[in-house]
Order: sequence, then C-alpha cells, then structure tokens
Amino acid sequence: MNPYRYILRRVLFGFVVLTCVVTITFVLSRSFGGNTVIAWLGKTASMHPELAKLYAEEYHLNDPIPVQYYYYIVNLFHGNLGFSPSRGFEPVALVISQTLPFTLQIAFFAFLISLILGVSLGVLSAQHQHKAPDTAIRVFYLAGYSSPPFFIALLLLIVFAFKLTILPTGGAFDVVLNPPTIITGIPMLDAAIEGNVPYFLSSLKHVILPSMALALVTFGVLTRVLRSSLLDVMHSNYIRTARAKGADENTVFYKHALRNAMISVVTISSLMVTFIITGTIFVENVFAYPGMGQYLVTALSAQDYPGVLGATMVYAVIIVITNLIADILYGVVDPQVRLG
Amino acid sequence: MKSVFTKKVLGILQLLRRNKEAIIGSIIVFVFLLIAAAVAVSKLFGVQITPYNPLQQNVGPIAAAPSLAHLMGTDLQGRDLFSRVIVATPNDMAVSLVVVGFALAGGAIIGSVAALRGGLFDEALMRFTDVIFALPALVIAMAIAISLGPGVTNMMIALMIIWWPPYARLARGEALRVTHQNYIEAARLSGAGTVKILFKHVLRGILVTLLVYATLDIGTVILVYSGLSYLGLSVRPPQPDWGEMVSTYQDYLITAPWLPVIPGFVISLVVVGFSLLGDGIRDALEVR
Amino acid sequence: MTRLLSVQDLSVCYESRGGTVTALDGVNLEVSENELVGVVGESGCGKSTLALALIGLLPTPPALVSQGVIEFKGTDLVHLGPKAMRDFRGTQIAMIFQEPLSSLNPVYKVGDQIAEAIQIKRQRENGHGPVNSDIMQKVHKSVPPDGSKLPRSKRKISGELREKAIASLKLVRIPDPDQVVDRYPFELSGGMRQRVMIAMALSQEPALLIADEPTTALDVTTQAQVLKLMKELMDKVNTSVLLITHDLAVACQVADRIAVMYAGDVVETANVFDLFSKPLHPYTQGLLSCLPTGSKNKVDLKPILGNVPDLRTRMIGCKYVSRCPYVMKTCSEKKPRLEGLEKHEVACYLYGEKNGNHPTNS
Repeated sequence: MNPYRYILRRVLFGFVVLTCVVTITFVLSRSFGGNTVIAWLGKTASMHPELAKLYAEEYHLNDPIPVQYYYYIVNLFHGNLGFSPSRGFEPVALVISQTLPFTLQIAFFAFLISLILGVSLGVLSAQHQHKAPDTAIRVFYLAGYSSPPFFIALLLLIVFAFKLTILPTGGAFDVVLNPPTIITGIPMLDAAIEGNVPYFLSSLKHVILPSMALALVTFGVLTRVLRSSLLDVMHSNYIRTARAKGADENTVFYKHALRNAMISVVTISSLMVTFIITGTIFVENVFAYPGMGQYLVTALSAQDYPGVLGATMVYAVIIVITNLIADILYGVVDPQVRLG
Repeated sequence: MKSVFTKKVLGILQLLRRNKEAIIGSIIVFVFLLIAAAVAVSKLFGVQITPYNPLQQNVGPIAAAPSLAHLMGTDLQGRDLFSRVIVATPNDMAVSLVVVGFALAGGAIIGSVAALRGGLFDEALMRFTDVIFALPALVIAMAIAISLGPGVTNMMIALMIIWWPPYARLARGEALRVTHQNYIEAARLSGAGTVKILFKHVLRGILVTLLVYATLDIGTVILVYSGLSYLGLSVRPPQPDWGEMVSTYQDYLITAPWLPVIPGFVISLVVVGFSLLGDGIRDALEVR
Repeated sequence: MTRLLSVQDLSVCYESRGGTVTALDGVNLEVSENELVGVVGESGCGKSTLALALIGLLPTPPALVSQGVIEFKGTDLVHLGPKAMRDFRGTQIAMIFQEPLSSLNPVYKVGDQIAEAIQIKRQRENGHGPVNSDIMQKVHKSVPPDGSKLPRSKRKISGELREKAIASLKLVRIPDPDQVVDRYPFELSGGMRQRVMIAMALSQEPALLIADEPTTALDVTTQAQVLKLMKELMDKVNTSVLLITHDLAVACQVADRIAVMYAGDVVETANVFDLFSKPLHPYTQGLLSCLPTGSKNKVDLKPILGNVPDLRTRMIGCKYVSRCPYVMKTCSEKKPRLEGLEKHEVACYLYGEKNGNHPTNS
C-alpha cells in the first residue's frame, strides 16, 4: 500500500534521473565535433583509420542521432562503454570494474567516520550550547567544510605519513601480500570473508588516511544539522510531556529527542554521500589510491574521452542510486512519511 | 518600497557589526575582493603590482622556503609563489561571483515567474529542478567542461549551466509566500496590472533570502571551481590558478611542502571568509 | 476533606529583554483530595505559569520562583532539588497539555508512550529510582517467544505492559483500544489524542492531575466528552484535578471550586454555586456579565473596559484598579489579601471587617 507506493515513486524518479544522466553523457560524447568515433576510441582514433571505420560501423556512429542513442543504450546494457586509450585500449567497463571497488572502500569508511564524528560532535555541541565545547567544535567543522578535500588530504599526508611515518604514503595495500580471491569484487570485503587478515589490515592502514581526509571535510554539515535539530526538538512539547511523566534527562535526551533529531540526519546523508563520492576523485589522486578517481584523473590528462565519460557516468549513477536509498530510508525512519 | 529594502539592509549591517565572526568574515572577503580587483585593473593597464613577475622564472633560488624576500617561497622554476598566488586571485573570485550572480538573477526571475504564473510552467520547473538536484554538481560540471574544453571562461559557463536550480526553487518558495501578503494584493487592486510591476514588488521581497543563500553559496562555487582547476581543466600552464598550483606542486610535498600547501590554505581561507560572512548575515536575519 | 496541595504566597518572575515580568505575585491556592478545582483567567494572567511551577517544569533560566511555598502532601516542592522533584512528576503530580498532537512524541506508537509511563511508575514503586534509558527496549523485550522476530516497526508491543496500556485506553473509553495502542499520534483525531494523554497521565495514578487548557484545541462536542470523562475518572483513580482554562463555562461544567486569576493574582476562590450566585470580586462580576445568557430578550453584552496591566512594571496595590468600577483610594496603596470565610475568599477592599462588609453577608 502506502509504503510501497512511496518506494515505487522514488524508484521511478530514480529511473528518470538515470535516463537524464545517460542522455547527458550521450549528448556530450557526440559533441566532439564531426568525428564521434573519438567518444569511443579517444583522440588517437585518427591514428587508426581502419579501426575507426570498423568501430563506426559496429556502433552505428554514422547513423542518425536517434539510432545512435538507441545503440548507445543497448551498449550500456551490455556493459560496453568504449575503449580506453590511456589503458592500452582496454574496455572502459573493465577498467572501471577494477577501480570502482577501491573507490567504494574509501567511500564506505569515509561515510562511517563522518557519521561517528558528525553525530557525536553534534550531540556534544547541542548539550553544551554556547559553551566552550560548542565553539571549539564549530571552529573545527568550519575549517573542515571550508577546505578543499585535496588540501586536507595533503595535510594528513604530511603529518601522518611523512612526519610521523606511521601510515603509508600511497597505494591501497602492501603489494607483496597475496590478494584475496574475488568473491564480491571488493578487496577488503573479500579479505574479511576469506579470513585474509594480513591483507585486510594492510588495506585498513592504507584506506584510513584518505577516508579520514574526506570525513573531516564532510562531517561538518552533519554536526551542524544535528545540533540545530536537537536544539529545536528539545524545545518541543513532547519533551515537556516526557519530563512531566517523570522520565530522567538521559531518557528524555536520547530516547525522545535524539530519535526525532535523527530524521534530519537521514536527509543530510544523501548530501554527505554525494560529497564523499565526488571527493574520492581528489583524495585518490593525493594518496595514489587505485580507485576510479585515479583513473579519471589520468584519463583527463591523457584526453581519454571514453574513460572520462564512462567514469563520469558511473559516478553520477552511483550518486543517484545512493540518494534513492537515502530517500527510502527516510520513509523508514519517519512514520509520518511512511503511513501518512 | 525602496526605503523598506534599504532599512532592512541597514538593519542587517548593524546587527552584523555586533557579530564577531561576521566581522572577521567580512574582512577576509573584503581583502580578497580588493586583491582581485587590483590584479584585474593592473592587468588592464599592463602594470605589475606583485613583487615579482609571476610568470618569470629564476627570480630567486629554486624551491626556496618562505623568506622575507619571497613571502611564500619559490617554486621549481624559481618563480615567486606569492606573486603567483596574488595573480591567481581574480580567477576564483570572478568565477564564483559571476556564477552565483547569474544563478541568483536567473533563478530569481524563473522562480518568481513560476510562482506567479503557476500551472504547467510551475510544475515543469519543479520536476526539472528535482532532476537537476539529483545530479552531482561536480561530476556534471566536469562532463560539461570536458566537451567545452579547458579554460577559466569555459569553467564559468559549465558551472553557470548547472548552478541556478536551487535559486529558482528558493525564489519560487519565497515568491509564493510574498504574493500572499497584503501589499501585493494592494498593488494589484490599485491598478498595477502589469506583471512587471508585480515583479518589482516580488523581487524586493525575496531578494534578502536569496542573498543570504548566495553568500554562503559563493564558498561552495570556489570549492568546486578549485576542484576543477586541480584536475587541470581550468588554466593552461604557466598561468597560475590556486587549484592548479596544488595539483602541479603536489609531487614536491616532501621537498617543498609550502608549494602545494599555501595555495590550498588560501582557498580554505577565502571560503572560511565567505562562510563566516554568510552565517553572520543569516544569524542577523533570524534575530530580527 | 484532607488538604492535598497548598500554595502559599507564590511569586514567579521571568527575566526578559524588556524587563522583569512578574507572572505570579503572591498566589494562594488550595486543593483537597478528590476535588476538581478550576483556575480561570484570561491569557497572560499566569495560569500556565502556576501549572508549570507546581510540577516543577518552569524554564529556570528565564523563570525564577522568587518567594513562596508549594506544599504537597507535606513536602515543600519549591525547595526540592531537581532529582527529588523529578520523583514527584508523573506518579504524584501529573500534567496534560493543551496541544495533544505536539505533546505526544511523533515517532513512537501511543501504546509505547503509555507503557513508558507505566514503567516509570513501576520503577518508582520498586524503589529503583530514575528510569533506565533503555525503557523502550524493555517494553519490547517483555515479549512472549512468538512475534518477537519481526522488525521493530511491525512488532506490536506485547506482554503485560501492552495489556496495561490497553486497559488505560479502555478507561478513557477509546474505541478499539487494541488497535489504537499500535497507532502513531498523527493517526488519531484531536479528541482521541487528548484521551490518550489523559490515559497516559492517569496510568501513573497521580494524586494530582493538572490539566492546562485540555479542551481548548478541541471542538465543542469533544470538549464536553473529555470534561465528563475527566470528572468520572477522578473518582475511579482517586485523583484530584486542577483544571486550568480561560473559559468560565468549561470550568463550571465540572469544577467543585473555582479560583479566579487576574494579572498574576488569585482574586477570588469559591465553590461553583457560590461563585455564580454571589460573585464578590468586581472582576468576577465583570466576567460573568460577559457571558451570553441565552435569554430570549436582546441583551447587550457588557465587556470589561480597559486592558490588562503590563506585567513588566511592578505594581503596588490591586492590579484591577484601572478597570474597577468601585475603585477606592486604598486600592492603589496596598494589595488586598485573599481572605474570607466558609471557603469563599476574595481579595478586595470592598469586603473585610474594616468596611463592615463580611463576604458572607448577603
């Protein structure tokens, strides 16, 4: 009934947005002047005229636009995103499948740390409103969200990797170690499932700085929203009722107030995820972490258009899907949205 | 009506004066704007206002740490970092101000029209902005930037294309609120029939809210633009740009850390300035 | 009848940007066991402040009890520390509020919220003191082996607490209580929500229930039902009620005694019949003449001319001087005390031995 209708509506909307994303990348891929083969083979297409001709026929690149669009979508469903000159003409989709898991690792830990930091500091600053801890936290998160992610990443790198040498300076894991067998495709997860402790620990050491850099930039919005939401909620009538019932302050704050304030946390999560995923592009570059961002950056400087467009589209798709999940979660957390 | 608006602005300025953070923010913003203007004007007249020529190599020792002679040190080609940072200021300032200005103006008009007209146009606008909201700004800007090619102006255009929807939404919401207030009815009744005159009334009413959002937004544009610049999509070397400098000097993090860190710090500083200023304005409004 | 609550000379002031507001200026009030006392007065007269002061929920940064005693069952509540005062709330003194929707937590089912109240009472009875913050967990854990694997939103609160919650709902005559117990506040109508609040408050079996404008947000028919319900439950649960309202008509439907408040003072207290047949204070008389009589002849409504005084300025003397048709010189010099015989007290210089006018003289 209603909850399912809500989910259905959000999913449909998600589809609309995804269609737009695909269309935008399609339009852009056709905007490189006359020769649309560039979108598939990159600028070096001109150096391989026979190959270019082959691809033009195979992918219908000389047909009218609507036909091209059709085949573009068809190819998408087959996982065909073109070939990447900066990676020796390997299929873009393959490169992405190899690099995306690493990006997801950073994104996961960054989100986790942001949540922990954001919620705990939000609660703390609400409980000590206008006093010293509140101000200190405010300064902290202001500095965080005003800094570009690559800057914080650089600072962390200098302090922890170079000055203190406790954490590695780059890469995703120690290359001498045995990689885990591919189960889910996400290395750390596979290592965890398999019990490959050395690899997992090494990965953890390598992922902590990039994730931390992103978390420091992202937690601020959460703290600010939660603090403001908590302060609002603490002045509401049902808090007065809870006190009138004789509940102690801990119960009032954690069971009654925080539970309501958390609703705002869910709404801000989609913003945080968007921020984190776009941020991975930069921190991967600073930490030489072999994720999709690293690929995107090298593709950019090599003018590898298929790579750039493919990666861009995957980023957009991930963000749209995670926002959709956040929307659905919002329905779970707020009964009024679900049942009303 | 004019006096109501100016009174509001003066009132805000007064409250701002009491707010320490807003003062700090204003000072930072003012300094940066001043520098940007000075550089732009000096370029116009072909005058050099920086201590050294930002593009000239070997004006000092290679990769020298900050000193009195070179306030921010020198880079691997012996160029003075301080001069480069100064000269790069107008880029971020101009891009952010133009993008936000355009988004503000465009969004205000589109949103107001949607609120006044209602009906299909309004619905279409809402759906459209919904979709744009769901798209990640940086990624789309990057994609547009790829096809347009590198350059500061192209970045500006790419950002302008995607930046206006939140303003349209905000303007629409505010316009709906304002049009239900009495002075609009009064204007209508008094024969001010043309949409243009209503425009003037409506725009005045929504302008303040939009300005608060815009001030906070400028910082965001700077962050996105510096990100694009970091990725090499903006200036072409040897022209300096803050984001680009961080990226170019990144490899010398160990040997000459001031090279990437200082431009990064400068970006943070200007964004902090705009954040404080924006927060101050918003707090001043809430107090009233 | 034994005396349950005795408020003596209670004064409360608020620090605001415009100055210090004297919300209560030496208020005297008594409530006995099994009695329904109506506190009547216009907006701003201090009724809500009085209510919050009694239950110890005044926002203490701006508000301050500057003097006075609140004697409840022999204990002075004013000088209790916050933890000790908390032990009185709910199980000794309970309160229900004007806006039932915003007064109930939107994210928990009403059954859960009632169960929480019952749990608090239980914990106090067992001497466990303050409630464990795991209270909602406990509610869900007291579950029979079946049905406990469902996700929390689908899981109905089960066990003994659920039965007790349903019983509370039955007490306030809510239809289908076993369905309602799993509903969220926004799913119920205004009248039902107010009944839920009453159920929640009475489930803790307090000695005194303070009802702050409980029917103001309801329509007239629901109003009558809720009032009637409160009156009936008083005897069942052995609770006294302090009913706060601006509507004299509402008060007279159910009250045993009425206290009339004006600008921070209690100006007259009497049982309902005496108040209506023999209103003594000029303000009470004015209030009564404002009520439409429903007579067939066209009668002009007589409003009380003038305005309530600004409570920021400290006034010497009776606060009603600017509007009283019988004002005398002594009225502005010193505030009249609330005194009288046979439970009909009035604070007015028109009465008292000095003038030879005894309140009970007809």
